[in-house]
Amino acid sequence: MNRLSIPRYVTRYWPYLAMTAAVIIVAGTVTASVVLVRAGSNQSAQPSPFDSALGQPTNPADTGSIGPTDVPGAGLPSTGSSPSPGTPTRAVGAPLGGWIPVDQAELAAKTAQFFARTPRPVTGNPVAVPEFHASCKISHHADDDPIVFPGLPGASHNHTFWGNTTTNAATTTASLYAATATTCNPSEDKSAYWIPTLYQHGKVVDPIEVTVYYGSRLKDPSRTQPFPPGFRMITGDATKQSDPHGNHFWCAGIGGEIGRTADGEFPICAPTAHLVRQVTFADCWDGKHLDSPNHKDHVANGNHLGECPASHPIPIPNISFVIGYPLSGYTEGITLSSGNAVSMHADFFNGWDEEALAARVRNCINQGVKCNAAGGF
Amino acid sequence: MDVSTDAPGRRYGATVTAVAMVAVTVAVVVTVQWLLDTPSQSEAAPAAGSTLPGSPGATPPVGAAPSVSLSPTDIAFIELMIPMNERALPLLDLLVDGSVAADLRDAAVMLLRSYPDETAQLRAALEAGGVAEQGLHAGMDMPGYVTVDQLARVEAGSDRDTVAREVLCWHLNQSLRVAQAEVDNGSDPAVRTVAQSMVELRATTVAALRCRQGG
Repeated sequence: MNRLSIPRYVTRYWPYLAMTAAVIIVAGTVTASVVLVRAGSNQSAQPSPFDSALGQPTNPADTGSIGPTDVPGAGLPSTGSSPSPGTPTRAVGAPLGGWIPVDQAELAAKTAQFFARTPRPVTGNPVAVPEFHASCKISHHADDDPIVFPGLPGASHNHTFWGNTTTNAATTTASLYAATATTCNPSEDKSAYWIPTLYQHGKVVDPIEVTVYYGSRLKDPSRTQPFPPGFRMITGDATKQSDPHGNHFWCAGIGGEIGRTADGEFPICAPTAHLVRQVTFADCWDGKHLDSPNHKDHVANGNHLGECPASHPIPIPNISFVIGYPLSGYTEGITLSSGNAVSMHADFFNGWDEEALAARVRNCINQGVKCNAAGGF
Repeated sequence: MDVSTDAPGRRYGATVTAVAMVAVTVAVVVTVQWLLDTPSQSEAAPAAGSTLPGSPGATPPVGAAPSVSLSPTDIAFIELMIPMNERALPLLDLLVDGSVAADLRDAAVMLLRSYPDETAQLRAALEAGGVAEQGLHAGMDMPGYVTVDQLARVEAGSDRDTVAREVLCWHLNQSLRVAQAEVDNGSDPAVRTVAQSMVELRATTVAALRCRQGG
């Protein structure tokens, strides 16, 4: 019927013609698609930048230049709070972000130089405690935290700062060393120090003074070495709101504690004593990073033998803040900007003049004697 | 069919088809190879060059920068904002279901529609940067995180609209402030784009609710 009107060669060879045409069409479509995809990817910065993020390798090992082996300690379990249930986390592999590496050649040179220093001969009769200190007054307050929220002004709960007077969310190692003023004695200490702001019935109560002790809890203080410029860490855990042993406020001075507040949280001090809080930092360092993702994993405490663990083999000065508040007989209504008393934590961002720090660590800590703020015996 | 019996014609057609298929296949393979290979090598350079542009907050002073595109500011922003969004969800649920002013309910509906997407995008960006989520602030009452006490006050409902508006505005203003800081100081284009859309959603909502500036 209809078929009779079609030329004979068409009816004879139509399957082959059809197949050939199909192959050409498919091939053409594939080629065109690839061309379009390539063209599209060349403008990836424009349409949805999110697509470009999703397009990046999700396996850190795939990023090539840095793999897990380049990031020592990367596989260590976090010592901070564990993620909330249901939070997708990378069970294995290296968290690349948040680790700030130290130049190993420079560190090795400075370490050699440090231990080659001849300690100043001990004179007088100093107390046999490896220690020096800085005496500091409060500088300022801000809703900033250059370690936890770098570049995000206003992101933090309120902090009380001392030491370097320029500390804010934009603080860097360079900005600390460029600054000229500090509220600490000696003036060579331009480090940034901060803690959550303390309130009584909602009103700020500033410490009268903070003494920053640099000591050693290790068996052999002679191997302690300075931390590098820009080294930073935090101690305490603002997420721990319910640790029964977490509240370390006490009464310093004659008469000491004479009672407890109604909720039992804070001591009541004798008129000749005042409220004090001490926070202590870790004293062993991995020797590889200025910072870690939770700002704690690059440091650790010494073990029960008084030695640094193999994971964090470098002994560094043991920093301790002794924070004295002008509060004695009435200690009701105290809160911290970070929550309750247990949420107390503290931050340190090293801005010490390198020579001044090295001299103190070598003369005081390494020789196991107590120095004054000027670094003398 | 008559063609089925025409053996010589069939052989001829089969040859034409086979040759065409081989030729076209070779052409496609060569084209695809050329298209995929050449640009992908030239793209590797900018990708590596864009590593850790150094945020204003934490420029590593010494040593090589790690090979990631997320700056410390980007990472801190994501870590802070994921719980900030998640902690707001119970409040938004309450406002969507409860009897509250129409503008509050409309705002809650709009935010509920966007928050899970925003959170997913932030998590994806972290994942793409090869960074493990630390959950640094998950258990804390950071500024902008809706607290258990605030929720209880809204639920108590003596003056639900006023309390809910106060809490929601406080959350939105803080969230807006932090997202704007990421737009200003962040590095990763993808994260900054999410932050920009967060700023816009929050600014619109803050205006719709007539929130006081900064609180």
